[in-house]
Formats: sequence, structure tokens, C-alpha cells
Amino acid sequence: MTEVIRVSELTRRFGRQNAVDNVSFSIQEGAIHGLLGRNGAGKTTIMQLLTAQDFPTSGAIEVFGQNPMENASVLSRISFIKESQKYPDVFRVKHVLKSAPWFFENWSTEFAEQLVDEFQLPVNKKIKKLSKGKTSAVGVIVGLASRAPITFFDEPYLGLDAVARQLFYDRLLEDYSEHPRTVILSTHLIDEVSNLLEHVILIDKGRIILDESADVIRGSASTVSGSATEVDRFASGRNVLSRQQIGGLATVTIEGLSAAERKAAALAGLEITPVSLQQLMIQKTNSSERELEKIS
Amino acid sequence: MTSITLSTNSTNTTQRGVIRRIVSVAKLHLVNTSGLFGLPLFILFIISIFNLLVAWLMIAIGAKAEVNGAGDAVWIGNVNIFIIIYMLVVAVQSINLTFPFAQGYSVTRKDFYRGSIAAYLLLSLAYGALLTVLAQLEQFTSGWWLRIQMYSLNPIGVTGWLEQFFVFYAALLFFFFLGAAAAGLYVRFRTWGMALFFSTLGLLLLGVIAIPLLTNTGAQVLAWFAETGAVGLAAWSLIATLVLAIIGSMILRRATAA
Repeated sequence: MTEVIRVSELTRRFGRQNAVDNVSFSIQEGAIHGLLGRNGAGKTTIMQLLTAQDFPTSGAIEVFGQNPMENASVLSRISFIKESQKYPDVFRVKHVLKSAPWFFENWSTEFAEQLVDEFQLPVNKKIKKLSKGKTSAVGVIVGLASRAPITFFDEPYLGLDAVARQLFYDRLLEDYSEHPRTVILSTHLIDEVSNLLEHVILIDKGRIILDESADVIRGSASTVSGSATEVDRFASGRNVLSRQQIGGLATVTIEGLSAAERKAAALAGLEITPVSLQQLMIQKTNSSERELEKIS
Repeated sequence: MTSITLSTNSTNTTQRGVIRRIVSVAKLHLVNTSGLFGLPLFILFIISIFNLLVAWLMIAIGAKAEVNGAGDAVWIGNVNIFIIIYMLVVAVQSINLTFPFAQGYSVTRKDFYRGSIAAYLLLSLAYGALLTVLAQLEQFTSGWWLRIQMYSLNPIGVTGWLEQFFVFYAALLFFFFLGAAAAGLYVRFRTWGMALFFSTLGLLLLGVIAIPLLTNTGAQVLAWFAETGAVGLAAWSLIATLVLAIIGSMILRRATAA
């Protein structure tokens, strides 16, 4: 796989606050990447920096091997409709559908029309009059139908109902398999997208706290549940990420269990399931915050 | 030889790419025809009809003798000003809202500004031509057969169609670039940008009034204005427009569409 994005020591400061704090990472071509983190963690800022919508305070960004800033040959291969995207007041949905092909050379009118139909978008309605969900759908349609080599989705599901969200996930996966490209999806609805993601970058307070393939992450921890005594006996001496107890039943998340250890747990009558990405993210975020508190 | 051919080709491709991107941005500004043409032309039509009705009413209720008695036609405000101010608003919105949107389409700031200039030039051309046609029609029909002036620039001594077109075109361009520069200040510096804009504007106006007063050159200044005339002033305004265009491009160069 080739590297399409490389970021080194990137910082973006707003006043005294570092929205993005000295981060370095790279993104490989042709995979669905999750940029995960809490609200205000710095996800949108990173995406705005990568797409040259914002200027870094320091550090370097390379997209397709070049600095994306004011670089039309790079930017023409990127699609990024952000969550808070502004549209001209007078614009109706049809104006977006008409103008998008002028800017994205891979634009598929057919696919866009299909999506308009499926998301039930009123093409003659002014965008500012649309509901939050329908406005998100406009951004989703531009992102999908542009088929840009690097496509960013910034919390694309905001305001969309469960049916529409599922539709987005289905169409993204289908179209991605037919027209492979690099997709970077920022979200905090982690469980919903966890099956889509091939790579995960977890960001908290402007810093990257995890940058790993989704498979490795899923195998990195397990949830062990059963009677509290058995669970605690099994967990002792192991790296426990979290523990919950309801009555006599306990659930712990344990990092890095080998096959033999899993077998031992099963023999002790404990139930073992792979940890959910969302649970792991929450624990990682919490533990990183505890570490930060310790340092400060 | 081969390498020369290749490099010429790639230069051509790049140039074609630049032109294609500028045209795309200009088209993006012009894609909503109802907001740019439908609505302002409808309002213009209504105002004109209303003015004609008022003029007709005045004549009907007896002001006729007075109107006819006077040597000059009745000047009912310049309706043209409505179009010029409307285009100022169009320019403000083109930066305030279309710029963030174009960023979503991954357009560079430079291409966006070049495309915007193309759109402003085209719109000024279209509306300049329309206002000239209306002014000429008004002259031809002796004030719509009611001796009223809504479009013509007779009161400021501009009667030829070419001069009229030049004055309209220059005025439209000035307001387009004024709107773009002001909106650019807002997009880039938000509230502080607006504070800067209005204080600069205030200082400029104060200067325009204070300098002739302080230097006792008021009479000369007025004489200069009279001598230069509307066409001359329109020509001078092109310099101001150019300065505004340069300021606008500098402001937008580091603007973010947050």
C-alpha cells in the first residue's frame, strides 16, 4: 500500500489552546479509516488542516506527496464536506447537484440521483430550509458521488435517523468496493461504524492516543464476564482495563489474552467476547486523561 | 525535441486546468439564476411600475400643468441605485457564503478569487447593458411618455449610450469589489474585521470632508468635481476598484472557512 497522507509534528493553536498538539501519522491508500474521539478532540481541525481549509501553526502535511496548501492538483482529488458546512443562502439541493460535477472529475450523476432518491431529498428545496438530517444527507451525497481519491466524512450521520445512517453505511461500503478509494471518517458513534473501519486513529485533546489497524485493536482486549469471584481470580495479575459489577456478576476488560488464556477462562466457566471498539475507545480515552492528570 | 513538446503540452494542460477551474467558480457564482436575475429584475419591474403609476397619478390630479410647465422632466430617484446596491449584497454573500462552500468543493483560495472576479465582470457587464438600454429607452420615449426620469443619467449630464454604459459599469464594479473586500474582512477577521472596515470607512469619509475644510480648498475641490464630470469620476473610480480588488485578494489569501 502507498502512503497518501503524511503528517509530521502538526500543531494548530487557537489562542492558548492547542486544538491539534504535535501529531504525526500517516494514512495508507485505499482503506476506510476512522478518526475517532470525543467532541472537541480535534477531529474536524485535523481534517480542515489536511484539506488546506485551515493553516497549521507548525508542522508539515503531505497529501499525495505534496503540500496541499493552495495546491489545485492535490485539492482536486479531495472531497470534504464538513459537518457544519455552509451553503449559499439561495442554494437549493438541485444547485449542489448541478455544480458538484464541475469540481469533481469522478462525479457520478447516476449515483447522486440514486442517493437523492434513497435519502428522499427534495431537490427544489432551499438547503437552509432543510432539517439537520436532510442537510447532512446533502453532504453525504456529495462525499459519495464525488468518488474523490481521498474522501473525508465529518460526522456525516448528524441528524440522520437510523434507517438513513444504515443507508449511508451500505452505500459507502458498496461503492467503496466497486471504486476503491481512501476514506477518512470522523465519528463518535463508534459501534455503528466499527465493522466498516479498517484502521483507527483515536484522538483526544489534540493528541493521537492510538493509531492501529482495526483487527489488531479488536484482538487486543477481551471482555470476560461471569461470577465475581471467578472473574476476579482470573483477572488477578493481568492488565485489567475496566471492571464493572452488578450483584454477584462481574465484567472485566483485559488486555492481550492468548489463546491458552482464553481456553483457561472458558474452562473456569467464564464467558469471553472480543471487546467492542467503542468500549476500548472509552477506556483508552479515560486512561489517557488519567495519565494527563497525573503529569499535570 | 521530445522533452520540449512534452513540457509545452504540460504547460497547456496546466493553463487549461487553471481556466477550467476559474470558469467552474464563475459558474458556481452564477448557478442560481433566480437570485441573481429573477428576483432583482422582478423588484426593478415593480418599482418602475409603481413610479410610473405615481407619475401618472400626479398628472391626473392636476399637477400636470406644473410638470409640463417646468422645462425639465421630473426626476424620480435613480432606480438604478437599487440594482447597484443589490449587487453589493450579491458580492457580500459571494464571499461570506460561497467561499466556505467552494472550500468544501476543494477550490483553492486563488482560483476562487479569480473565478469571483470573472463573475463580477460578467454581472457588471450584463446589468450595465440592461441599465443602459433602459436609460436609452427612457430618453427615446421622453420619460416613458410621462416625462419622468428613473434610469437616465441626464441630471448628471451623461446622455450618450456609451458614456452611460461606462458609468453604470464602473459603479457596478466598484460596489462588487467593495462588497467582496468588506465580506473578506469579515470571513477572515470576523467582528474585528468589521470594526476595522467601518472605522476605516469613517476615517476616509471624515478625511474627505475635513481636508478641504482645513486647507480651505473646498471651492477648488467642488470645481474639480464639476470639471471632471460623471464620466471622469467613473474613470477615477476604476483606480479605487483596482485597489479594493488587490486588498480583497490579500485578505482572502489566508482566510479560513470556519
